[in-house]
Amino acid sequence: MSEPGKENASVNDLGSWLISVGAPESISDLIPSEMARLDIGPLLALFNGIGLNGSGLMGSELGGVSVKSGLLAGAGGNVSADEIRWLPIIRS
Amino acid sequence: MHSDLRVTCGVEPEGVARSTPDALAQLISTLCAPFGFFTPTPGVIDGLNLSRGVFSLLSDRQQVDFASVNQLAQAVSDLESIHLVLSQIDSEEFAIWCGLGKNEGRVHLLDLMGIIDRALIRVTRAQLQLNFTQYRPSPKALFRSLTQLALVGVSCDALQLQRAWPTSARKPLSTKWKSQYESVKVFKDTGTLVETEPSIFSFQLKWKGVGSTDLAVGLLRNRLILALGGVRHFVELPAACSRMEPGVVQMFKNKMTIDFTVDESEWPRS
Repeated sequence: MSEPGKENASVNDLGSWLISVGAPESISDLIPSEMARLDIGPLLALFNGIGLNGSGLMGSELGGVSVKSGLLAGAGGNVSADEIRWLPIIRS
Repeated sequence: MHSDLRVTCGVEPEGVARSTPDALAQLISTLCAPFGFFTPTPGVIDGLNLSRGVFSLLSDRQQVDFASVNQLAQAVSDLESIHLVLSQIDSEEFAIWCGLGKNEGRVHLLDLMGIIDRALIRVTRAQLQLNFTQYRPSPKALFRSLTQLALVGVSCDALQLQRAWPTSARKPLSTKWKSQYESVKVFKDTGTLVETEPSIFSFQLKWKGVGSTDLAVGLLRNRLILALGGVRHFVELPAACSRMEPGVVQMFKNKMTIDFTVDESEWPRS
């Protein structure tokens, strides 16, 4: 866990930020290390000022849901993401 | 009616935020997935880049600069994609979860979607100026960019464009190109679903000149994606389409149609 008063010191990388908003530390094992080191400064800047940081959406409790390779493991089993379906075109 | 926003294309924007180019799609995916309510659609968030003008459009600045018409079109398209991603987060489960007092997230989510809605309206009503001092594209490239811009709902005054074209240019704008620019119309249609024969419906969209573009058309949940060189626009489909099988897109000069067939196994005859 982050030390008191240091929550904001290193939240610009994804891994630290997820933990700082309440994700279990084991979340680091679920995401590739290069993603954990991502600089999310620009995204946080987008959310700043409109309440999505702190206690809002991004401050949710993250326990109870596990993530693995793009599949969501929750009620009802693993659910795969849907995809854009490009359609064939006939030009007249 | 114009908004209070003035947009200039052709001027290098100042103070661009730090960039996280290729990683942003993965980032949003990773941020959203742990909540358990949202699996982002691959392809929607690929290639999004918040620093590429999106921040500028969300700001309340009255003057925003873009390096080119194409960059403006791309930024508006990115903003639309982000809005779509947020609307995917706003699932029934998420709303119920928030409603049970678990989280204030939905209020903030709707706030953000409202901000993006207003930004999109503001940019479509902006006063657009073109400046070819620093960079002058070829007439053909400019035509394509203007078509992309029209796809995302932003119009450009052809007369203003002609005045901005440098008189010192070796090749002045030909009558052919002037007329081509004047022919570009903003995409506005929301589409119509008509029954053409029993169990077959046709979704029709009108856009002047669409037949001469190399538009790609896709389906994503209850939306149609129109894509032109990386710039995308989303059209909401009638609810009935989600229970039918899409067929081929027919592209005509000024309209396109997509056939949807009723899957009779889902609707057995009595």
